[in-house]
Amino acid sequence: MTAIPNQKRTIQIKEEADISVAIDAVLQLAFGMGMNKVNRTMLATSVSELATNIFRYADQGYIDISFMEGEVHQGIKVIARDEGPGIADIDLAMKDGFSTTKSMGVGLPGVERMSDTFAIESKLGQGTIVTVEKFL
Amino acid sequence: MSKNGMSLDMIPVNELWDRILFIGLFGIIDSNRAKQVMEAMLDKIIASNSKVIILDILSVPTVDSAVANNLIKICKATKLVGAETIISGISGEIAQTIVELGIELETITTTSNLADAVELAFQRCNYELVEK
Amino acid sequence: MVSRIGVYVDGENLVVPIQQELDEEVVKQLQSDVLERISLKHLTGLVIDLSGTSVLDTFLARKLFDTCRMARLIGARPIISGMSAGMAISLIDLDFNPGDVETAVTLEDGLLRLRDTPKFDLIAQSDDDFDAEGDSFENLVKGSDVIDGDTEPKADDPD
Repeated sequence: MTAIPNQKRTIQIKEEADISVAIDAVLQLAFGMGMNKVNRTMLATSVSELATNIFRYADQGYIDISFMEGEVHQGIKVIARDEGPGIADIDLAMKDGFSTTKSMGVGLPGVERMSDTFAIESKLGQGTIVTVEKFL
Repeated sequence: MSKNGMSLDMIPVNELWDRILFIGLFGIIDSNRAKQVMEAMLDKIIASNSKVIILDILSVPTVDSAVANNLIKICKATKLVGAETIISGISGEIAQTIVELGIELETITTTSNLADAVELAFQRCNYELVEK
Repeated sequence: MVSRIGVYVDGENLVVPIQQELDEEVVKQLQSDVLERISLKHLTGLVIDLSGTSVLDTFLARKLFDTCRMARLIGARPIISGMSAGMAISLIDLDFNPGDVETAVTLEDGLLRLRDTPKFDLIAQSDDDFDAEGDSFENLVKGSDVIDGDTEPKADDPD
């Protein structure tokens, strides 16, 4: 329905206010692509969580937003990357109570649930990259 | 004046009814804004001796764990000063993200639309709407 | 397994009798339908009856209980009914936490309960620090009794 432009946007996350810039950006792009409301909300909430993690745990980082135009899947891909301290125990960070997260934590299990694909790479002292995809 | 110099008058807390307050939030709620909102709400609750405050978040696009945490804090704080917060404007989509994120809001009263929240507030204050 | 599960409005309540085996797609669609219908009609109760299905793995159970929590957030009191002994036992074994979602033995029980309680009462904020709902998960097989206030969620500190 809408032409999918060949764009990629990168938002630097350094100040707390940058988080809302990232949320706005992804909401706009998702809307422009014709993503339905539920998926847009989940995607934007994921971006919010990821950007907040960058702000909280690293000095700065970036959110890359790009379009995916595969044959089977169309949607948005978000990469959240930072050169912060890294996650010591990824398995632990990806674990949560079956239905509750007692500590506000890093919210990653929730992001995984709300995304269609999820990948995380982290090296102590070097940084973290989280890649998520949300299909239309 | 709030601590960072922004006038608390800029955050309007409406007197919906006798002892019932209303505040409508819009846009993204970061920790600064949440703090300002909380201060404005508490001040007004105490000044007007209110029992219930309705906090509407229909125009808040995303509620992630940080925002939820702030909302929970606001509700706890209002309880401490003797009032209750009802959060209205929770859409189906927001409800989904809140649960998927594993956030527990269940001790807080929430509704999807404002009308329900208003009716609930009236109940709490022992008011009854009677058709003439 | 692509058939959509029908949801029915009965007064103020949404009734969801599940009469087929479930898979992820069906449950996802159900979640969407339930939330949409509750929002649209401003419903205040929800009963999901499982007596017509035999297998419920933890993933699907979680999705159903999550749907209930979501419904609660938008103002409907959720009840899950008709869980079999086998389901209950296997869910306990896998450490499943039903949290604050009420359960009933039959759909009729669920509806009765919804009709008995005054509107909004169970979503009311508790002033006391209640312990968890008091029912062990084992009691799911018998259905939990509702005594006013007992089904309040644990006053956990979410911080």
